[in-house]
Amino acid sequence: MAQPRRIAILGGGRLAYGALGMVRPGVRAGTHVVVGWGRSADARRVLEEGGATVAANAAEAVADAAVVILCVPAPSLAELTGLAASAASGDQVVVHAARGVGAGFALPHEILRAGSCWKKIVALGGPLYLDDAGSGRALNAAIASRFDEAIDAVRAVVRGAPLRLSSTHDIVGVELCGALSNVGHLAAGLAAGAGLGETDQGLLHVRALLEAGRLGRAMGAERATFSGLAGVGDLIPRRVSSQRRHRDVGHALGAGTLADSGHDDAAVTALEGVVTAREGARFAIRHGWSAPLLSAVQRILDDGAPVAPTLQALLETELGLQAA
Amino acid sequence: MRAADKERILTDVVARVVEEQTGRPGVQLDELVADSVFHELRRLKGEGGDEVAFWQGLKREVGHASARELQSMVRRITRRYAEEICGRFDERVYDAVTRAGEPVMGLLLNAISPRRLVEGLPHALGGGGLPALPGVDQSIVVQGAVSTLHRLRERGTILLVPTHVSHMDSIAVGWALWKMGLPPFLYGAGLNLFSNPVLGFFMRNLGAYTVDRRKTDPLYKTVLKAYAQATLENGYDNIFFPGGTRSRAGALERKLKLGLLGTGVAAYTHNLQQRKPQRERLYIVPATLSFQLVLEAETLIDDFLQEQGKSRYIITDDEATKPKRVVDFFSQLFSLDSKIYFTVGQPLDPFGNRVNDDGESLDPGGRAIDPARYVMRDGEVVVDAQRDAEFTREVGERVSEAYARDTVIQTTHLVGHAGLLLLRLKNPQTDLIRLLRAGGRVDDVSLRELYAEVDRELVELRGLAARGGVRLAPLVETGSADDIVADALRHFACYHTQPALQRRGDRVSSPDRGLLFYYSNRLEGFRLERGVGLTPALAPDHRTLSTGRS
Repeated sequence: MAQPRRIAILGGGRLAYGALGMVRPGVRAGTHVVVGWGRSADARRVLEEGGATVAANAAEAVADAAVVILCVPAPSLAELTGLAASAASGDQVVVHAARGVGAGFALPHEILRAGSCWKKIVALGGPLYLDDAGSGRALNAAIASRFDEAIDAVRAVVRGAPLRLSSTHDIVGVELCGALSNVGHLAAGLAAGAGLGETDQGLLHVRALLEAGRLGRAMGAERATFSGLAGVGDLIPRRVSSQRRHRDVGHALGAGTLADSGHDDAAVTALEGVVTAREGARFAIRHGWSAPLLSAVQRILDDGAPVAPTLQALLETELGLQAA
Repeated sequence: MRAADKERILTDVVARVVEEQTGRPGVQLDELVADSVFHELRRLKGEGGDEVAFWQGLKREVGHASARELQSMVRRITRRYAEEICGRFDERVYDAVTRAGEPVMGLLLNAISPRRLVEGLPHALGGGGLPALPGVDQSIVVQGAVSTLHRLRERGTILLVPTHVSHMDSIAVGWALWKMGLPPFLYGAGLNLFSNPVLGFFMRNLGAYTVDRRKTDPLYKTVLKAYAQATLENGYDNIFFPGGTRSRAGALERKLKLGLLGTGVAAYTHNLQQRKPQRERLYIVPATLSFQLVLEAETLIDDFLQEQGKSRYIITDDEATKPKRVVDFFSQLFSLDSKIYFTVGQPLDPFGNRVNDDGESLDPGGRAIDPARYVMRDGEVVVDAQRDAEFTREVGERVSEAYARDTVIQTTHLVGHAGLLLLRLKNPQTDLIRLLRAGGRVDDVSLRELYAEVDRELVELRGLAARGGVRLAPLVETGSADDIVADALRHFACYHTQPALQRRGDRVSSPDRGLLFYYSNRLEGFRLERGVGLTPALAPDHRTLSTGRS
């Protein structure tokens, strides 16, 4: 019998919990073993309870792993990659489900590549509603990698788990859909908090997707991705667990109740949608691209622009279905 | 290629291609042969001789051939193509040429003109070099990662991938290799370059193999790639021009042809599988060539500006085929103390990672990594065409970035760019193609405006150069706008039929706007036009005009 393949799971929270669930059938079948590492005690507890052997550090967890699953948001990817890079190798398949960007509007796969020798990177996008997994229902996700063998490796690792994967080579498109979807949830939350109606909130989601498409075309993404599972397929269910926080934070900001909402400032600042709006607005200006939603959210967050008038002005502008 | 290796490599290439073709699922051998016959007879339409007879013979046989006979036909076609690509090679000439060095490189430059060759031959073969083209040695500046290239060549096989603007490139690269003390590399040269009997003789014996771009048979391209890959596997350093053909617009290549470039990762993987530790290391070395003037600029830009779809992939009647133009070009270039810069870029491994002087692959953080892991699965080296295509695409991107970083901007590029930009600004209602073809309402600019624009672009370029984003020729690096403009105008006036820019009193105009566009395009992609609110002139791939507002 072949040696079980080693799977590394880095990070914690609901994503790590979900990842452990996805690989569990393979662990039971003896096809792979799981080693994990998380910075916090909570994260390590989640990993341990999920059946992973907890390593002393990120590099130890990653060493000799065939597949590495990163369960952290985009703003933490660079740091985590730095911790694991000394043990990284070119044959490893690296999976992330981040829905944001890093400094300079670096997409998650660009962050991973800039900090390590990893190239075979897989992005999970689309609805990926982790509560479905908890209720025994199938998870649905877009899986994107430029390497077929990386997609095949992930499929092999989650074999037996209730997971429907729709694959594409367009990792740029899938990552943009995820990042802009979080900005859309933030904007919709802002709109709700400021008293705008549900139609307006829905239109902000539509604008987020259109904006992702425009940026995507300029960045070499495929148009079809935005009308597929990662784009429209994510917009319609729009109940992704990590995005609830974006809506809640947006709502508190829009209603002016952030201080009483229990969200601390540091966590809000590091929220994927907040970082994406800030970095995206700067990035668009630098390249001379139009990104009205990112710009509006950034002005509300950073310049104290009034929420309702700013979003209403945005909604007044032409939707630009065909805009490039 | 050494004679001892030739037959072995040819046999290997034929065996590999035949096995690949006959083993492909769904491939009908009769269709494969018929396809080759169709493409070749179409190319040879109106011609006679042995070549036509060969293909006519196959045409007669293919309809009623058995499976074994069909396989034999594929073998014959493959062997024919492989022999043609490999060409004739005389080891004695190779040895003499590589020992002789400078005199022979002088001969090469003169070989474009058989008459001058005959005049210079006795002197050159006597070891005295050629007096006919003084200054060649001083005119080619070799710079960049030269010492790294030397060290890596001792550790593995080199795949040198230069920019391509002129037929003079292969000769200049050959000269640069000799200047660096390296032996000739193998390279695929267009069949038209072999049509000059003297140049063809030397090219063949210096390692050039034939690439016949008129051949549209897919099997020919397969054989060509297999041959290139086999030579790399056997440790022959190669030169590919990944731009595919000379840059028609004069711009740096952005969209590279990845077919031959992809043989790098294929050869690397093959040698790993064959466990040939002495041949495992393979390095891809980008290089740039920068000419102050380009021999074939007029023809190339005319071709680019042909209506969409009418430009020619192969040009057989340009300035490079006219001996007098070639001699005029070099004489005038050298008389102006003009330099040709050959810049060796930072080497890469077959996966696009940087390598250090010891030939180790590095991750972006500078840590040494094992490149073999990229082609491994569960500890075993595996062949995966999709994976390799993706790695090759990435190598192409890294090479393209190196081209921008290592190209040397000369006065003609900068002043050409500034001049055309001013004409675009003065004719805002005229789109670029109309401006180039028919001119605008305003067809000249003041010298003062030109100096000011050159100054503006200098600030950006010098800043970029300080950050390692481009290289500048010495005058562009430190000279004043006045001196830079004067130098460019001198060059523009000296060789081309009409100058790209000329001065009349305190005004500057462009008698040949196409040529101005050509030299301007060397700065395409550096976003200098954004500062004055214009869009790029070329599309992002630099192969067509931009659709944006001029």
